[in-house]
Amino acid sequence: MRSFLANTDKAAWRVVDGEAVIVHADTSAYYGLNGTGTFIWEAIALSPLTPKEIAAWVGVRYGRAAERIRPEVDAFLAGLSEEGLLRQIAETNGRPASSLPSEEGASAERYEPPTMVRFGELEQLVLSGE
Amino acid sequence: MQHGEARLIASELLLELSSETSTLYFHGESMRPFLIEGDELVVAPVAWADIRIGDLITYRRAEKFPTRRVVWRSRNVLHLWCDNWPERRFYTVREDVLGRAVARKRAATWITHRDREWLAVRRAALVAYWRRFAIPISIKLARRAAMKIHRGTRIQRLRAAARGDRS
Repeated sequence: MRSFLANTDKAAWRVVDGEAVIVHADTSAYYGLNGTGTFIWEAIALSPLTPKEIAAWVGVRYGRAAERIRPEVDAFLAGLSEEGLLRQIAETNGRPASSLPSEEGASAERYEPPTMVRFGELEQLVLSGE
Repeated sequence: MQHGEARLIASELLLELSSETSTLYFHGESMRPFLIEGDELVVAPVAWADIRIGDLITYRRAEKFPTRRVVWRSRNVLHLWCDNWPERRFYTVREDVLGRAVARKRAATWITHRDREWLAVRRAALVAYWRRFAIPISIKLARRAAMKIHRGTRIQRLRAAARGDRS
């Protein structure tokens, strides 16, 4: 199964109030992720994960069944992939299942399907005097 | 997250990503002749401890990204000025520093912060700053110190003289 890794060579991001803003270096497009999307992004920025593993991580964090949220995770990954924000790795070498977070680490946050909003593209940045 | 807030964050991120293929446009007259309207710059993230006097620093100020020369630094504040506006002084704090200009492209020619031309302009700007501000201030402070010492010795002499009269 394929693993996904955040394309950190081409993307820079910052998390503000639990929501990530991502910029693509080549296209200057910028995006906003909601809380669940940010959680997934931070996980795949650390190491490659399969969609199944991602769904399991999200399920544990938000107290949801992984199978039920899998379609939403797939759609979210497809969106990131289309924008060139993901790298796909053919062989699975993600975290072993034993390293999945335990239910003790579950968040009190309410689950929302992971979303990505494409805000637009930045024009060439201007450095100015006054 | 609001679009405006996201845009500002994205701009700062883009600044950190600047490179020879993704440059930043310099606008304005404040840094002439070294930087002129339309020059393309590369700004690299810099650690606070690595900022040196003479560096060109880009920082956050409202929704703008001014780029100015460091002329003095204290613990958490940079004192800045513009080569072409010597009468004006600017300040920024550690948290607002976004990066240091490391390369400039003008008419398809690149120079970097290690090149002789860059270093010569840096030196000249600092000499101009020291002539204009630092040396006059130093002289003023030295005069004030000398006056204090002079006053102190005069008082001591007067006291000694008073003691002599009494005995």
